[in-house]
Amino acid sequence: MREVANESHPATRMVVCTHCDRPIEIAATAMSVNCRHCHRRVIIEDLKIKAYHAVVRLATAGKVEVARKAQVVARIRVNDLVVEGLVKGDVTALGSVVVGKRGSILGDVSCKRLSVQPGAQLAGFYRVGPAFAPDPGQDAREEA
Amino acid sequence: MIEKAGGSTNDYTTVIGPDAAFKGELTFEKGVRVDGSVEGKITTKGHLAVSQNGRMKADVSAGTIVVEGQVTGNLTSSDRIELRKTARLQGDIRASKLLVAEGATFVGHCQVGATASKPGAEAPANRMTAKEALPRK
Repeated sequence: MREVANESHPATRMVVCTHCDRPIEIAATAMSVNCRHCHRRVIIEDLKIKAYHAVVRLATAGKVEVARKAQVVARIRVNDLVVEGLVKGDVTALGSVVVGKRGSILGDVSCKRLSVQPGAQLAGFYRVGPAFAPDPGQDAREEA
Repeated sequence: MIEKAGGSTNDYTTVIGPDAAFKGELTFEKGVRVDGSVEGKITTKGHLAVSQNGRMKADVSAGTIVVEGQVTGNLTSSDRIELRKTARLQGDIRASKLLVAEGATFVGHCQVGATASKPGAEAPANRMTAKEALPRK
């Protein structure tokens, strides 16, 4: 999970709200919080999906792992994504997207880093690079 | 500097030098390394490498493609496409394997998989062009 050093409050970390993309400071052990900007619930915890999972939107400020036999049908918005199974839907990741050798993503992807292992299947529109993911600490640094 | 692109630097029998600009259609059997500027179309069964200072505005069909410079155009590879950390690619990709280093930028449709580079493979739905998707400056 993305952490920003904070000398005055070492037990806190910065994450980016999955709804408004603004940085929020949270307790290091928090699993979900309300965003102080948009007041919506933000899930922080890492998720591992092991079976068929179909939702409209899957969002967490943590990491999502799609296991080998799992299928996810959803718009996904995460920090980091690891795909060993199948993802059908658009993906937005602030960090990295890793597609394993049996992984497939059918949908558009925006991420900072992409790692594709041989055997993986991809189909969609890709935006990969540092310019396509906001820096969570940037606004906070500008405010300071 | 491209040292290894599925082989050593000696694999590139053809080199477009840093002070060269080429416009047109290139067809080769073995390898091409682009250190200069190319506009048009490139077809080779071997390796294509675009070095860090290389600039390319072309549709490419090659065995292996390694990008370190700036490329605008569609890339089709029968084997693999490698985007190294200084790569800037705006265009569509079709390949069996894709390697993207941290720092590389890629905007475009992507079709990767065992069947993706075959001639009959269906292109993904064209919802947005690569140019439209670029961040506004």
